[in-house]
Amino acid sequence: MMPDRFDQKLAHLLEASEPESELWPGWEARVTAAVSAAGLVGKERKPMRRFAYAVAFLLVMGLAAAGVFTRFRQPDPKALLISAAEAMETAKTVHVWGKANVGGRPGDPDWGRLDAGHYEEWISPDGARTDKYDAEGKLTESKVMSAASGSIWIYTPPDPRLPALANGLVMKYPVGLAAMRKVIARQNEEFTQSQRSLLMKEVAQEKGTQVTSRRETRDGRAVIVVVAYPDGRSNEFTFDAVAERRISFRGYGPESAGKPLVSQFQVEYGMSIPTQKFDFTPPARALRLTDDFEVSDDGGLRLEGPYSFSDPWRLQPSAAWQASASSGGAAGAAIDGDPKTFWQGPQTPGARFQISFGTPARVSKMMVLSGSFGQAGAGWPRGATISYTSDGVAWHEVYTGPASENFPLLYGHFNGAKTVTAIRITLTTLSDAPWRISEIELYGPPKK
Amino acid sequence: MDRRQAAQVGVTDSADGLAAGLRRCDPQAHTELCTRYGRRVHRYLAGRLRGDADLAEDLLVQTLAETARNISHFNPRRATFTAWLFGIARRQVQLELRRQSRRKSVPLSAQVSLDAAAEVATGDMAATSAERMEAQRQVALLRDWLSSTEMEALVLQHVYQLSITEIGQVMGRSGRAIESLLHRARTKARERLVHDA
Repeated sequence: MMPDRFDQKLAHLLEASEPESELWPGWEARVTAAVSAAGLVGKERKPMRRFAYAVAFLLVMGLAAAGVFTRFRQPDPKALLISAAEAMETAKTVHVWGKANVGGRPGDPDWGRLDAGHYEEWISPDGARTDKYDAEGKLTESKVMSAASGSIWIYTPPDPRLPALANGLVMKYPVGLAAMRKVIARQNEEFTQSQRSLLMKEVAQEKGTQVTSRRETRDGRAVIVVVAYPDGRSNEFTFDAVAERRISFRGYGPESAGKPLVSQFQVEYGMSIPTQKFDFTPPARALRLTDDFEVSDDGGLRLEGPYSFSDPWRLQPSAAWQASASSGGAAGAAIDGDPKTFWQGPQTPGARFQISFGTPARVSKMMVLSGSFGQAGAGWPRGATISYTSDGVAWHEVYTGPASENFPLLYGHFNGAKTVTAIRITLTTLSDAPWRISEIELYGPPKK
Repeated sequence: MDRRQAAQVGVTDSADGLAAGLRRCDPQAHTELCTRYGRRVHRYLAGRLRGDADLAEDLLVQTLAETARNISHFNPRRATFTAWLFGIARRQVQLELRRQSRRKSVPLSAQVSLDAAAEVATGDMAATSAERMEAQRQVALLRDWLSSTEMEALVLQHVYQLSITEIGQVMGRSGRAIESLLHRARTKARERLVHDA
């Protein structure tokens, strides 16, 4: 049947309205790699027949029931092959408690970090990283996702028993940008929700306190209501209700019975509008955001710095701890539990700061804070190593590298709790700026 | 259906060599699958996903990977390779749409990044020719008038140049059913477009 004029017109309309194929540059290599990988899996499966599957299944189940496999259990690299959909399912579950810091506009160099009991989440504007630890605090798996190139890398620690794990890298798995964006959006959303619920929980736990809130229109002034000062007063703080804003809280210890103390609240609008700061004197015990609080698209609500809701891992500074430094002022200020006081010395290679514990302590990780978060030029180390000793003779390095102006801390992970008699921070880089340590936070073995 | 019957209803395809290559797991066949069908299938997917090119790219990967993985199930007597491939793509779209309808809604602020907004803006600008916009307007009218199945059959026939038998294989219906579906769709479209004119 020859197409008539109407058919031609219809074909033209449908053709013109169908979207053009706009694929990302380099799609062929990416798609071909995924197709080849899938083809290999299919080929492996091809000779199998249903009957063979059934027999194999029954055989494996029988052997498993007899406990044969328990003696030979080894990490199987194939078990780590994940599809994009599975990756999303894995990544959307973000458990957050303890110390938290997330944020970053697109293009910002600073990454947020979430510490959780048994794993850590790192969320950047264009990707995410997950480090998982076992009950002993040892790193078992690290997953890096990058939205920029649409890939997931999965690493495991080196395992000499399996050639595939000899260098630790298991595989790189390509996924689409849309999937990655959704993972990140969902992580940000869930994180924000969990932090909000934590705030609300803190408010709810403050018994006998009047909590007030007020809804206002978006073109007016948004309101934050701060309640529950230790002396019973409450107060309201207002800030401009523009869409592009970031909100951060600064809390300073010592913590009181696990409750946070918030001493500063900050709203950033961008370069052209000055940042608004609200100081709480004395520090507030609980605070509440009003209902019209908007979350910006980069994760919005941001909790910063040494602010903590509750931290069961943290080792409280003890009088038996001795701090010493190769130069500079009173070293004890760095381990007094108060980040407002600090030790400061020149930034020269070989300069040392050391903490000696009177009795050996169990330490799993530590953070060295330089100045306050967000304050430029607050003495962040340009290059340093962290090492510890258990016997006073052999020193084991746990961190090497610089801090940064935007993220002025060093972070040492001991890969499981270690018995430690002393910890030493040694500078490796020369700088005219002073070296400042406002606080060293030490953490014990993971608690379930 | 034997080979003679298959030939009668047009179940032949020039992709025999490609299918054989995929069966052998030949890397060249994987590359050919992507270069030969990638853009066509991506366009089909994007059209069914309201122009979401990123998501279409994800589904393209899944579709082609599924094709390579399940090549042993491909039977040239039952469908052409193109129809089989489009059938897989169609199933991926249906699964995705079902997944989206089940998914809890995420606030807009958490969904759209500035980059994504910029991309959408660029994509729209490419489609702003007056003729194209007019075509989109008229097809939008047709979409309201025709059922989704009728629209899909029309698109597969006119845009992706599939035969009636192939459309039936993609949509899981007999050739006769598709013929009557297309006849009905064409009649309704003619009424609507004449009425609109």
